[in-house]
Amino acid sequence: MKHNRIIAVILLIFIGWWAYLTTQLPETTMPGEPGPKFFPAVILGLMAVFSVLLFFTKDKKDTAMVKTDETDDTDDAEDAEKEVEKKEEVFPIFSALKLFAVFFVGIVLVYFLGFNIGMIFGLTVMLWMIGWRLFPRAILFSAAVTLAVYFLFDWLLKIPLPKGSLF
Amino acid sequence: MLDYLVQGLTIALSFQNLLFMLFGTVLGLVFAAIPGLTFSTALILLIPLTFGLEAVPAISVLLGVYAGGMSGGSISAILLGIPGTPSAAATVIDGYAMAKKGEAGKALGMAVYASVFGGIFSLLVLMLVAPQLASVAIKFGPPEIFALVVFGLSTIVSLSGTDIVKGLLAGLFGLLLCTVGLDPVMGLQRYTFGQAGLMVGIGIMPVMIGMFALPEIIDTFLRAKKNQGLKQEEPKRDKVKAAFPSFKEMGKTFFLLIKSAAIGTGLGAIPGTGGPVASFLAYDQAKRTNPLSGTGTIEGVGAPESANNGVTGGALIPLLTLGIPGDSATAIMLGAFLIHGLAPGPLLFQNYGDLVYAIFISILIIYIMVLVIQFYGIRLFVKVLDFPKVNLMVVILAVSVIGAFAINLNFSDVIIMFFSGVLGYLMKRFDFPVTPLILALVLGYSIEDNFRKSLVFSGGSLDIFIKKPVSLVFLTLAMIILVAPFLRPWLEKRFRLKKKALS
Repeated sequence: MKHNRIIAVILLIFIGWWAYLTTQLPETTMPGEPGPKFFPAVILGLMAVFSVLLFFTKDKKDTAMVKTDETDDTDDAEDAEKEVEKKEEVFPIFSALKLFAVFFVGIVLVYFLGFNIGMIFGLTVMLWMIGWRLFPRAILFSAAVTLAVYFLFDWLLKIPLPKGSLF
Repeated sequence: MLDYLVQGLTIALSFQNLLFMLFGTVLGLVFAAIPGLTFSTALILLIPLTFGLEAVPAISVLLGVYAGGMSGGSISAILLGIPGTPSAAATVIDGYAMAKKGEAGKALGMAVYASVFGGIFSLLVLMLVAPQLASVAIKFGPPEIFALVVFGLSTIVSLSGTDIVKGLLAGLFGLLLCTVGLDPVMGLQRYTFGQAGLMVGIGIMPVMIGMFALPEIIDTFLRAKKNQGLKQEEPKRDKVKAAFPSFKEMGKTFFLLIKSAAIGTGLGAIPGTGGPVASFLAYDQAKRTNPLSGTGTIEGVGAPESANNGVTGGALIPLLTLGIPGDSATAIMLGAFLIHGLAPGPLLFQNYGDLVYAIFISILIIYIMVLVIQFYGIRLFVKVLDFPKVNLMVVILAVSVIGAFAINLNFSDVIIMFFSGVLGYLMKRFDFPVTPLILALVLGYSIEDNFRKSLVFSGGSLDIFIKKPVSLVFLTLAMIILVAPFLRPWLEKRFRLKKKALS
């Protein structure tokens, strides 16, 4: 199954669920006013239409640039733009999600144990995952950055940081 | 106006303001000079730092990043052949060709001169146009504002790149996110799932931090993992020195730079167009002026740089006068304005005229700073190109958490930032543009609020949007913008067939 189709199906399921939530909203009591349901309903309707369109849209493939006789000067500018554009590197999605998961664990730790412990943990593990040596490089660098940022914001700028709900 | 100018001058020339402008300009230049880093990330990095500042220094530091960022993209474009920002993509063509011919210094000098030329040109236009536009916009009621916001949102089409369906879906999703929180007219809770943190709605800043910073950080980490152990040979660039263009060269390129700056300012004022389009259109003008463009000419460097810096002043016109951001950078700046209690729009000119003029003067000073720093500090920026990006990203990651939390001292904003980051990464991965979602999130609340208020005034009749001429014009324009991309292929096909038949 192609990406566009999978995304379209996910979107349609999401739209269905959100539409159900919309039906639970109360009706308006003001004359002439469309009420709290109206705007979300219009958006969901349009999203459903475009999701169906997406379902039938082919996934993007690298297509060769074809120059036709009809190209004008603006097309030349567009062609130049295409020539300069460099294709971005694509990394395995699973690797990215693993890094996100570690960051999320770090955020949870920030919530319970405070900014310093949570960030040092999250950053250390992320750096270790991308190939830094756990000790001393990853731990020391994460600790140095976290503490520097902490002193800058909490001490100098007096911006309160999460202290941790357990403390 | 003169009063405002004098008051603005006093605020803009304060030591604190000058210091923050300098800091922002250097940061913008550094971030733009390093390929792969964007000045949107630098803006996000700075948002939490501005919390403790007065409004003008806070906005000035961000404007420094914006102007410095637009200009700094040319450094790596010329020296490495890799544009530091998308807006500098056209500069690569002639800039890199000049560098290969051993004229890197001349190209860098021309790029700085043209950037400052374009930036100051657009500032003058901004100063002339913005107050007039604001005085008209102040008379707008809910139907006009609704139509204006619809027009602003219609630019999603141009922000969507080649995939309009995905862009529109992203924009609609952004609008849907705006419905979370309290209903703007009745005040009841919608889609809050019993969470107190969601009652105020989904904040713009946590979403922007997540969507712009996190995908870039994760990609940099993965790239570092992939390139681990690989030693890349860097060309020796230590002896590069910028050479200011001669009077003869300035005279030769004067009208081209004016034309390019006008293109940039004009396109910048239209939400959704932005730097890359302006610089390529200006490059086209350079080709007309000098047919040798493409082989390494100063025209090919000057035109795109003048145009993309012209965008800065142009983009501030709809932002300051109507509260409509045209791109991601101005959307972030809109967030910064709101954090500091300033709501961009016509009332900004009426209530905070001195601050507006302080901002105008600050932009002028920033461009003078860009000229001096980029011209004399070029060796520093050459060294910056080799700075390890992973180290910088670790700092940005830590600051992102603070940035999301510190806006409302609410931890649910950190969670929103995280999930926005994941969503932003997946969107980027599957070619969904992020900017339409951000634009919709910024404008969505206003669109629903003004639509419903208009209907309350009209007793439920939609005629109110047609009877008001301003609203009719904006809605018609929005309709044209939305329909045009779908009709374009059909019209082109017809035109081609007709031409074929004739020949």
